[in-house]
Amino acid sequence: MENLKKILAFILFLAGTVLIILVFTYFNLLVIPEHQFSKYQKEISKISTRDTTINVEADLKILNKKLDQLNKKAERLNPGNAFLVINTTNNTFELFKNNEIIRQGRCSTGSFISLEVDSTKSYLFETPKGVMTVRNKVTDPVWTKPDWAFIEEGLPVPPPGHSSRREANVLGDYALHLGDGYMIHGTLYQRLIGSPVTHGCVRLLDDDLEAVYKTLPIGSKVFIY
Amino acid sequence: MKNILLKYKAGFITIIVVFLILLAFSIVRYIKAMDAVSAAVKEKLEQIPENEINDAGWNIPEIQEKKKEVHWMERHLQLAKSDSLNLGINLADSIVQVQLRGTVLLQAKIQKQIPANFFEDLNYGTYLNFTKIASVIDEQATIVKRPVKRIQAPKNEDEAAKVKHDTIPDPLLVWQFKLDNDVEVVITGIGVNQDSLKAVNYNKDIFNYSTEYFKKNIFPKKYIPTLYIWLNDNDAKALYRAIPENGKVAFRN
Repeated sequence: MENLKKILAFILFLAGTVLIILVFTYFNLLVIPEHQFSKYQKEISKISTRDTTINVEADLKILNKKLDQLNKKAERLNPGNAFLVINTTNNTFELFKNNEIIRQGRCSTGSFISLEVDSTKSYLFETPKGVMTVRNKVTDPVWTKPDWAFIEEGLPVPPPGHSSRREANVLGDYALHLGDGYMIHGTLYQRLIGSPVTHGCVRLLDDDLEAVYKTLPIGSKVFIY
Repeated sequence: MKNILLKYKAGFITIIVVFLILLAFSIVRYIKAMDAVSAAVKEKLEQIPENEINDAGWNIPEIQEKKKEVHWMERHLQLAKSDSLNLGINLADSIVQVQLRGTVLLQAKIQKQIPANFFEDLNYGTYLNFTKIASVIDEQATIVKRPVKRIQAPKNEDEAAKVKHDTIPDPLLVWQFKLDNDVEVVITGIGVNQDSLKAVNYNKDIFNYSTEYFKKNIFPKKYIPTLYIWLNDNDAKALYRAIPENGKVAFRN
């Protein structure tokens, strides 16, 4: 009997403690923030008390006209008949024509590797974000290897224009030049498409590359984010 | 029962004392929290011209909706002048989007939003203030913006062959940012398929964020309304990495 009383007392004590903690936690973590927001929203939203009579139809007409003008301005921002959008975080692309997605899939973008040569020199393999323009299109591109391509392989860097810098059949069948040495091209390493493995260029699978090459004329916009 | 209470009097008195202490603490905290709200309201109202608060027609739903649409478009066009990627949070359509020069590059559907009616019934002046183009002034995230991996250039071909490019998967994104229009936004990434969406415990997330807030603000001095948004994690990460530091944000609701 005495033991039972002890157990009962302990249970009561425990239940009381748990209840107090729960109430305290609920009140402080959930009730107070909710009340704060409600009070804030209510007090900054005091509605107009001014008694105004307005002509709803006329006002709506003015607003509709303004909206039309804004929509026309927005249409003028249209990036053109065809453009490409690259997502460098998920390594995906969307090809647009007449404002509709006509093809989407995986691509590869910059690896974000910073190749540290010495304390003063390094190369960051990043695909630049922003809007770029297709400056030139070529078939059967030949890669002119920059210095980092040799440094990365642990090879001595040849002088500019040296024959060892030119390498054919590694960029796929097509390349679209975006300026500053950045290109959209193909790759021998198709299985890596979808991963961030490039030195800053955008790599596509062969079929996707062909579609992009044929859809985007020179001057098309390429949005990279 | 009476016997038990008498016998373990000390224990029960302890419980009551602890209860009273916590109660007193909670009451003081509540008062402080509400004072912080009053101060924030006062500060905000000082920024809003009286003539904008009393806008004729704002209380008529058709006109209000049309005006909201006009302002959203105006903000969109204003942002389009910039060369930077920027964020649009459209609560009316449950969409968060990234845009550049007027072209929407990514639209992510809001899976969940708390509070559900975030600033839905504002007067005109406050609405204009809330939806003005805001800048990110402070941000924190569970992943880095630019995941740079530094590697030393190999000295020869043998060393180059040994270089490994290990990649560690990023954790789910929690991106918390304060804006200069006195709004804080917390974007949380969640799993990508329907099954994982069902498993998301939004209240648990809120509980965790509130616990963090509690630890940092035992007696709150300043109040900033916070909007919690849950997005597909892939989209959330793409948005986070697209928007530059101190990026611009526009709201619509």
